[in-house]
Amino acid sequence: MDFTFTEEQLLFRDSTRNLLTAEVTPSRLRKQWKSHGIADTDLWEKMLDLGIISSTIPEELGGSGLNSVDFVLLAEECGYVALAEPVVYTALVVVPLLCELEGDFPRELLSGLVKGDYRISVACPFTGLVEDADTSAFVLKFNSNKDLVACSVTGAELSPIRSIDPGRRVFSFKECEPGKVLMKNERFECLHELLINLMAFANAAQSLGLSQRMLDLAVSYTKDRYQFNKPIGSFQAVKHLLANVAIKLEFAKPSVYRAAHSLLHYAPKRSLHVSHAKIAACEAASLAAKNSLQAHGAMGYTWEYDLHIFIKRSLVLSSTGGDLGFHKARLLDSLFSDDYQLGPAATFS
Amino acid sequence: MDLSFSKAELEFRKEIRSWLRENVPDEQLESFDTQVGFQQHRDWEKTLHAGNWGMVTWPKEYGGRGCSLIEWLIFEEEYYRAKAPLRVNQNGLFLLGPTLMEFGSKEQKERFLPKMALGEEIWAQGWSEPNAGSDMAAIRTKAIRKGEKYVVTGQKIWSTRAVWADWIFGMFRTDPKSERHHGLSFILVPLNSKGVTIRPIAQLNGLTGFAEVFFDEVEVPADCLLGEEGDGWKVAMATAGFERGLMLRSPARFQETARLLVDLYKENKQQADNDPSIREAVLRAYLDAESYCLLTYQTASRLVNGGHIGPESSTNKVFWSELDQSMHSTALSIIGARADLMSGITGADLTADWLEGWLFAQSGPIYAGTNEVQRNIISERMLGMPR
Repeated sequence: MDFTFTEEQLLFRDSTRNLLTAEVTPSRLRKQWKSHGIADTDLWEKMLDLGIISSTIPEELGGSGLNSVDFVLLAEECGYVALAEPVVYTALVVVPLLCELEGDFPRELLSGLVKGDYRISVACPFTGLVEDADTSAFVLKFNSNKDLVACSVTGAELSPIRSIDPGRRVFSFKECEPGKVLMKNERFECLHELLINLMAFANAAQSLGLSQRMLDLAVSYTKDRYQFNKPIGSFQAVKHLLANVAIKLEFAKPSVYRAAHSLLHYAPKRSLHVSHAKIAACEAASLAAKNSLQAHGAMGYTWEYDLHIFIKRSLVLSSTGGDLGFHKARLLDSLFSDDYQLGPAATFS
Repeated sequence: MDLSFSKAELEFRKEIRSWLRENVPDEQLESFDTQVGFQQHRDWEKTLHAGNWGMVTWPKEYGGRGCSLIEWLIFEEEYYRAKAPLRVNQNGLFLLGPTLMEFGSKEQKERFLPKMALGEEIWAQGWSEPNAGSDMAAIRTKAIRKGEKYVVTGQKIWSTRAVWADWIFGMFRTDPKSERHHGLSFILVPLNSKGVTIRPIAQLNGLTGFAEVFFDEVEVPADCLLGEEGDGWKVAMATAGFERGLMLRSPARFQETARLLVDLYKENKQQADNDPSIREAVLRAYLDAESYCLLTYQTASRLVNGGHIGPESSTNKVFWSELDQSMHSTALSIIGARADLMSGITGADLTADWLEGWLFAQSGPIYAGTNEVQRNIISERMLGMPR
């Protein structure tokens, strides 16, 4: 039993943090909003060069072979800066899904990703919408026959949908020709569950970073903002707002790390662990959004101040990847079944 | 990261599980807040010690097994699974014990630890005073050095287990001219000393789980000073760290309550579902108990790897105390119309247990530093917000 990260994992996290906080600044995100609909290709290229995009691809295909436990900390950092480019979905959803499939075509797609030939997106299994479809060459989706297919974006009908989060580039998608079958429908249940787990896990990990960012902004604001001749952060009412966020976040983290571990090792309860992580992390982010805004007062309610970037992202991460109702229902089904083991000593059994 | 137990850890689990199966009394003991129950629990401590299970994390030379914190968590899981009696000497074993090991002299360790482990000396806590509650630095009870003795005068209150305990530990003002955190010392006082008067205080369940302790020129040998004179605050903070941190409330306790709550819901599903919020509250209880377990294993792993317990341990105390409150009120919501009935009707025995737990849960956000104080600590020391 060792519930810690290695030195190496922590170092990789630190270097990713340094890169991201330097590159992905709120002003860069805002510039991107203004050039409405156009992706930040420079940033993508940079992260491709650094090997972050291909980091979870197996080494024999040219990636660095990181697993979900290695990458979870990096996903947190991507959440911290509200990275709009689909780095986390590529590394934690597209790649693991393709790695699960046999045959040459999935391997070919992975090799293309490593070389930076193209990008690949997935269709949301709940809404059918596709993030970053316009910059992708392929969209992975389940067709009406429940086969998992890779559809070519060329010639497909794409129309942008507006999200409250200006950083989210999402499209409705209709392919013009049937996609190439990656896996026949006999494995639908299993792959469908895997896809949801991967998306939910990716969102949970990013939500931890987002929560931390909102907390950091609020702490720093309440130190600098004076009223009644004192920093407002010295008032207990304000302190306790943010202490509550810290508590929620502190207790959400290990559930996300456990989910990473369970996905990696195909633990029998992995779907439940992912649902737990999704609920805990998204609820932490939602409390962070609410309480940080309150701590900022009217300033937090302005377009100019950066807090709303993160508030809006927290809504996206909570509602996508299976909303909280989906994950609660999944947990409730198991929890109240007759053979579900719980209580002391059941957690790691 | 490896979230599976090693072979040795699994063996350890097997060993304690089978020992508990053999030794845990079939009949539930009386509450240790009664005279009879106190003695029963003292005897149970002897039984535990005889099996060498008294305090598994202590070094072998003091009657422990030198177990890691992970093994301690395993022990606790098995302990709650087996419904073994609560630990009457918790103040000693989990709070004073670690403090003694850190600050005590060799003689003090040899003098106090073995008797503590054996249940021969049960410890009470002496922190609060009538005018020093959350503001512990306002302590006024004096302990004035006179030759080879301290002369203690003043009053402690809310002293847990003091009614039948043998010793009390706490903070006393050794420098009468000092203010606030300065001039305090950590001193151990035998409760049978001349000049000590104990006035039991009944708690919400009617039992005297704590007491007022009056000191009227009580003479205490100078070697009962723990740490340096004037260093009391530092020593006390270490004790409070153990209390808030890992040792006071292990996750197993709440996981067992969550398990019982899920059972209660399943048995009373029809009645419970009249209130649609109950289903979600039960799920939340399970998830939060699970999260508490996960965070504790994470912290224990970090400590095993040489890390330290930091101000984030204050988040623990808030979390488990509020979880305990919400689990018990959810249980009473499930029981519904008969929730206050403790005897005379079918199911009342079970309700009585939930009611007892519900009353006790109300004390959680107050003892060991109120949750308001914890939130101040979290915001100031963990988040760096201004005082």
